[in-house]
Amino acid sequence: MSARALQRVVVRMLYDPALVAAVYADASAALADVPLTPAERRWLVAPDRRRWAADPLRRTRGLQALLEEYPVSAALAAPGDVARLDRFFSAAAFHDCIQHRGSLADAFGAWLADGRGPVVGALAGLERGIARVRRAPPPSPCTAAGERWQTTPWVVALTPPQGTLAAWQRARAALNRHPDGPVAALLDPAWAPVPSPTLGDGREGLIVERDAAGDVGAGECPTALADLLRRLETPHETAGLLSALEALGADADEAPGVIASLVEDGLLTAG
Amino acid sequence: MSFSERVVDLPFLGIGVSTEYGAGAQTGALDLEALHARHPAYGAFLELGIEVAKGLDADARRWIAAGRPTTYHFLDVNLDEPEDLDPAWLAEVKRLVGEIGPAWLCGDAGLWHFGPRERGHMLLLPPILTDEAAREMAEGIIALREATGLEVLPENPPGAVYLGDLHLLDFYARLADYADTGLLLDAAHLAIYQRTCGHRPTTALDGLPAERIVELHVAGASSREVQGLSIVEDDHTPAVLPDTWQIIDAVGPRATALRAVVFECERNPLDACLPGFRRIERSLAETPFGRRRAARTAR
Repeated sequence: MSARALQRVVVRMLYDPALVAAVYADASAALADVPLTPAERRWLVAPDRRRWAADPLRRTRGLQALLEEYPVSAALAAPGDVARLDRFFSAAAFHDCIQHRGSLADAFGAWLADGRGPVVGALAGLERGIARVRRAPPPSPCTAAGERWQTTPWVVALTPPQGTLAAWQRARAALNRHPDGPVAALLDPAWAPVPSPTLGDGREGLIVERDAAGDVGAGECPTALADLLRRLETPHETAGLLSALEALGADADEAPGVIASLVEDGLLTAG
Repeated sequence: MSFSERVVDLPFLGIGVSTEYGAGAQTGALDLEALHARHPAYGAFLELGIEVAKGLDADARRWIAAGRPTTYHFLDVNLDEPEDLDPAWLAEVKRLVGEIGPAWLCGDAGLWHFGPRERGHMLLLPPILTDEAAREMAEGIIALREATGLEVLPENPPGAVYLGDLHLLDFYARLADYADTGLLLDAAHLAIYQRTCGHRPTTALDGLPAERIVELHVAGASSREVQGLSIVEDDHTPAVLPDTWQIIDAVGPRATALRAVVFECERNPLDACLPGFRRIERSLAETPFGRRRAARTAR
């Protein structure tokens, strides 16, 4: 495991000059959370430190790939200057993601949503849901005869403030109108900035799902259904699912039919 | 069966070229069909650089449909991570192998992507040069070989930073031993490593089991300045470094199992690549590879 842990530190240092500086100053302190041997820490500071910057466009390419998946929330998080979002590559969220073999797009979405207010949080949450569904493994075939249940991997349910989906669709359509695509719109100073939308006080239920062709779409659903699907992101026994359905107002004799229809709609699968 | 027994059954491919998805569509790229038609001795096979998520492009499909020889160069697996050889990826590799019919699998044995195999995670780094890393990587090579039924030849990747207590060639010697496998020596990548570490081009070559080299890569490289430091980049131009030729000259006579040499020049026009092909041919003429190639041509 040590070699792999060290390899992940290498990736972090290639992206983050601040970490390079910290490691060259005091590798033990800078990497206190990584189980490296003294020899491995010495190896990290053995190369000419300029070698860590051999690819000066690494962060730019990385950010571009992330902006392709988060165009709306990035536009709202850093209006007129999305390039400064490359600070992500020096953030704890990035370093945790790499060191623990996480998903970069997911970590970026969480980082964008954190501490930037409810509007950016809601839109980053929606784009993060889309990114997650895009990466989810295909669901296994399922019948309505299981004993444990969970939301299908190709489905993410959300309950953001009212108006989130409509605001995202408007902003996305505006960015898509740029002749070179949404990322170019973000970087084009002459392109109209995405106006910050006003979201409602209540919540709306949303389902983001991927179809068999791999296309991802988002649509509205009852908030109760979205709540149920969120709860079922971790597998539940049939009894627990029946209780949850009854709490939502389903009669005991209706619940099995509801489960069957959720399975048929591709929202629920055996856990 | 041991590698020394298995290698006997590997086909001799000669001198060929490589491609990646979409490479041939770029302006000024090597025209594979023209190469094969006008200089078949330099286009004897095609090495297909493959990311399972992208599959095969039109150039690759045309080559395969013509029944010409190929090798499968993976671009998307970290051989030292058991979780990277997941069932879905393996199933797709096996499907592609069935479609292509490559002579073997090969590819840089390093870090192709950080974290899970996802869009935006791709990069290419050399492995940590330690015995532990060699042992972990050997497990992956054996697993992939057993899953596909084909030889899996690890290649030394390029890099700007190399860490570990082993010389890169000692690492690959151990890897070949632990996995009982053949090797793909990228002479250009090795030249970059030797320069980066301040070694002569041929330092530690005597420790490499040359009899395990099945495939050789030759490619151009160029230098650029980063904060005043000269960095050599593996850019697949036809301008091959003198260090790289020196490595080929040193390895060729000892590479008794060498069956394939790739000139990695896929993004350059044919005429610009011909001097490189001729130099490869000349450099290897008086080696086991060159003699075997000449004998096949005579037949």
